[in-house]
Amino acid sequence: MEKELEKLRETAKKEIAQIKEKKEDLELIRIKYLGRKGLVTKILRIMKQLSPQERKIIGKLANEIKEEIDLLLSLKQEELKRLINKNDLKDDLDITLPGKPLARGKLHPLTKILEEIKVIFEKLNFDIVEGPEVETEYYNFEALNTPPDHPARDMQATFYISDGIVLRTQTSPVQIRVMEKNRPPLRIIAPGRCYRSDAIDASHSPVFHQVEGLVVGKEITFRHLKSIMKIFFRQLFGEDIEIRLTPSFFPFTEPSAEVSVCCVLCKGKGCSVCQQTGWLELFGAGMVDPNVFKAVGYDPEEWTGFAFGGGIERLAMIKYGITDIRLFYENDLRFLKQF
Amino acid sequence: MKITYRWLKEYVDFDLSAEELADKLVSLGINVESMQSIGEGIDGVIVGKILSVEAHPRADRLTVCKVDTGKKEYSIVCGAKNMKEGDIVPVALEGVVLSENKLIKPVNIRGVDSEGMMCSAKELGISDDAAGLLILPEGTPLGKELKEVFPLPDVVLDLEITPNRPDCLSVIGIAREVAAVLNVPFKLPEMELKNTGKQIEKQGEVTIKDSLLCPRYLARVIRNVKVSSSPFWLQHRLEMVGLRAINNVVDATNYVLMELGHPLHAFDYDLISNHHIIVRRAEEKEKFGALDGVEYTLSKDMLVIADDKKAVALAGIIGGSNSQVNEGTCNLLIESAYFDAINIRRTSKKLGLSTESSYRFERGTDFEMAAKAINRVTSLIREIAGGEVVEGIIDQYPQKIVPQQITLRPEQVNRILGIEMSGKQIQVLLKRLGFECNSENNSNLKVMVPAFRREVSREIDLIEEIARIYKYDEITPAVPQWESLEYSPNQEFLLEREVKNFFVGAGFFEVINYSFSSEEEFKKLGVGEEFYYAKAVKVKNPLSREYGFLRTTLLGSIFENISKNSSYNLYNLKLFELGKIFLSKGNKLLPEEKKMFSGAVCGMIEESYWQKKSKEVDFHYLKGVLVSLLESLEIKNYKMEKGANLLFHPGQSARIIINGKQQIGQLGKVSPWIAEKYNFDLPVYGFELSMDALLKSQNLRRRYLSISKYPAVIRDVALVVPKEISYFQVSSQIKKTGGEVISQIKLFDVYQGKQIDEGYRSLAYSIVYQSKEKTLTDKEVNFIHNEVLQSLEENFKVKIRDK
Ligand SMILES: [Zn+2]
Repeated sequence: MEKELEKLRETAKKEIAQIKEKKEDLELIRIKYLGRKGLVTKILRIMKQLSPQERKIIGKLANEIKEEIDLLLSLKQEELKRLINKNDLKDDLDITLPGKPLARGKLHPLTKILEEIKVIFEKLNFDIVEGPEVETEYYNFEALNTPPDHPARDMQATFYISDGIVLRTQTSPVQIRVMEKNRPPLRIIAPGRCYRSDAIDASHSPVFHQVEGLVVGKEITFRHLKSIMKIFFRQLFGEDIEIRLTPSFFPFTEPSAEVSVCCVLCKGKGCSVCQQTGWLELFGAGMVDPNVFKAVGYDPEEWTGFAFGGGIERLAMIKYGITDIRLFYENDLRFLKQF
Repeated sequence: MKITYRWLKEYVDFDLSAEELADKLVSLGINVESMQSIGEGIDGVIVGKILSVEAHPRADRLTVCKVDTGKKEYSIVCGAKNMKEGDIVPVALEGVVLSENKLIKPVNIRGVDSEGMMCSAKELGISDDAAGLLILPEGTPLGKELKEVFPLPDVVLDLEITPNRPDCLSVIGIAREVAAVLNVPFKLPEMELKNTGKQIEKQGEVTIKDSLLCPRYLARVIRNVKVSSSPFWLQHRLEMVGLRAINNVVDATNYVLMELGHPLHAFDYDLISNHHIIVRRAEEKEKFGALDGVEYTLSKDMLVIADDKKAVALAGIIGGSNSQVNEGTCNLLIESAYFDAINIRRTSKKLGLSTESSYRFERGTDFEMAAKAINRVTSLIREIAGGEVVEGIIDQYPQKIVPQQITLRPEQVNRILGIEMSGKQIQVLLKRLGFECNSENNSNLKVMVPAFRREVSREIDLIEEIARIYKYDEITPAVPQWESLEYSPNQEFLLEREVKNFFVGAGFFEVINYSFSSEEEFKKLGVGEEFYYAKAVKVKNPLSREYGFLRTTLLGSIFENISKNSSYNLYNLKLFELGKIFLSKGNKLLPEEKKMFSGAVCGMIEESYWQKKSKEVDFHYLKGVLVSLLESLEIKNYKMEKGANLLFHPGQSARIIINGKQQIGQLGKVSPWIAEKYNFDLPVYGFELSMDALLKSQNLRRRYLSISKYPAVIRDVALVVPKEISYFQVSSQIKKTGGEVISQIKLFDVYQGKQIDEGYRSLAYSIVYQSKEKTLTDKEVNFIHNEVLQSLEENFKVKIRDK
């Protein structure tokens, strides 16, 4: 009996599936199986003759089949209706016509990359701060261990406003301002505009952006600096990027380092962007010089720290493949639209 | 600074290719900016002598030369013009591969056999000079391979030396570093001179009048030299490192300068009055004619080398033309001195004169090297210019400089670097760099600083040295296990993000302009206006007039952006910038820096679309954007007052006021006379908002207000309103009269023209009546609605249309 029922189910399914167009066929099938003299109905009728145990099993099965056929028939009916609509071309559209564009603008690429940088450092528990763009020479140089006659001043062509007041050449003075106002431990990044009176060309702009970082605490070491640099550049350029620190010189850090990443364009083989070296120098970094701590009243025997920083334009140029720094400031919509 | 690979190898033995060497130098902190191979095409090229030059029988431009290579004569067809009979030239015979892979084989050129080629410097890969053949010095042995005669091929490395490493400004300095990192010995050139008599004391005298500025001055005298040109190898080496060959004496001083890093000067002994050198400060306004042909006016803070009549050199910077070595010079006085770095730097800055010599002195030189260098240059001059060295040396050294000693705590090394290094290991590393340790105990090392590392003066400087020689690469990164610090979110940045994203969503593009302004711009925007010009901060040394001031408004640059983009046929523009403006507070104080959010729009509101034509931007479009922003920041108590500053059209602009009095921004149509100056093709609308004011007035609290459960009744009405009555007045009156029962007022049409009397306009409103407490009956709504209309009639003579 059970087998018979299963067979019935299969044939009913097949028959329903085979219906192509005619609605009337659906009704025929319904009568054939579920009508008063239908095949399923018949079985339900002879149930009385069965033992109670059998009746339970068969009854359940027969009802299930009845419901399934019912469902299949109504689904088929919907399908047939839609088939009819499909062939009706009255409301046909040219779907290849352009859709209405959503008028969205774009952030400047420098803002975009800066946002990425901020997010990375926020996750590393850094605070974000800003400082003035017009600075005293004291904050821009002296407090950063760069006295007036130091040859390091030649490294940065400076715009002057008056005696003792300059357009900051780096974001580093923010370090001093933050340390003067706060006690350690601290962790900050300070993004912002900087100014240098270099002649304008494809890689020099009198106005540019830097991001500065500073960490001060107990037992902060060079190894931590290396680690933070690695984390940062990997998050910015990809998990597998190699980074390298090599000795360098900045008046306000010692030991100082230049932070390079393996050229993202040639993967270290050497190309014109990395000047055939396979490496891109991106950041300057180092352990905070004890003289800087002294200038802000921190005891270098108690606290250690590291600082790092670099140009944002260069990061954006590498990340987006931009070869001329001037494009950032020309604000040509054809450029801005691409980011 | 440039050095060459082979030159370096003369002092330190290493087994590295030029590329490997460059890598090592970078790891020491010496950046290699470029590398250039010299003489790549020199292999197999031999020295020959031109025996004859004859015209080619069938080609005007060519000659046929007979060339002797010592063993055999060759016939060579040549296109160059600069050679003559008897010239010594490089000859490439069959099988030689020149620069750019040019293979030499015998050829027949227009009927004449040519058995090889005579070469230009370019063909040998020595320089870019392709103008003619490279003429070698007379006496160059015939038949010898060129690479035996000249130290080629070679690689020139251009190094970037940081200001803290004056000791690396020489071949020896680099050799010392390479030796230290490879842990191999390095050697100095021979610098001992055998004669030790005191003859010189009868022939010259040195007086130091300012021993602070000149702690040490050494002199030697050489007699009967023959001034001529230097040997080819020396000239060539100087050229490779970027110096011009002058004559053998000057070239020798320059050579030793590059070799040892110590500047030297040779005077014509006979042009020094009384052969008496006086080191003194210059007189105020003293004139000095220098070797570069310029006459400098000196001041009292500058140091000169003088005789008893005149200044003969500007100490440490440049020699004087009155005592320079020339073709007739016979006797020399050689100077090797040690000058105060800061004084040299100040003088050099003040006069705008920087030389190889001043560059080194101002960074700091080696007071011990001064004595070695004078001997080295003396023997080199004797070798290449002949003459006799007068016995003895003058060494004025009034106050001996004591070598520095620094106390170094090994635990401090580990504290900074995060490594574990013992006092013993530290001593070994420092020794490789020339620092001797006097180790009484291992917790306090007494470190002696060598004379060539004067800038190393603190414990931290030594720690850097240790890290450098230990190699940064060997210090492994360690993820900091730091406790988390609590920072309250920076509201300023959050607001910036929100405002920028709001405008991007509204179709605006962010621009970033220079922070500079110019007189030109102030003229365009209106000089007369106090805000724009009178408070502008002037840059003392601008790059150009274009960047002479700091911005007092962002709109000037944004207007430029509009006009520039329009010139590329981009007319539908919506731009904004968030940046600082600078307002002067006088010359002695830092200016006020104000963050502004400004922008401008023109053209169509939306890009053209086939279904529906877009509308042009206008005042109300821009107002809508700004009001939406204010509302999204929950700034409610704002109002717009007609008229803004003179940038804007007085009838189509407004000031945005909050709390009844504080202006936080303005917007409007750019006034026609400014539009004309910027060549705007279309009407441009602009705005300015103070970020600071937005930050203070935004409301971060969001409170839920219950939504009415009762149905709303909407009544549409067209009001005919006298023109002088504003929308704002009408709406306020409606609200006032209707009270809380009016949940919303919406204007859906403004009309004037047909059917409307002159002096009136029609404002069509939808007024929504809804109570929070109950369902309003028709009767109740009618009652209030009538009251509203009545009050409008009474107060403003408003008529109801199509009632
Ligand atoms: Zn590359």
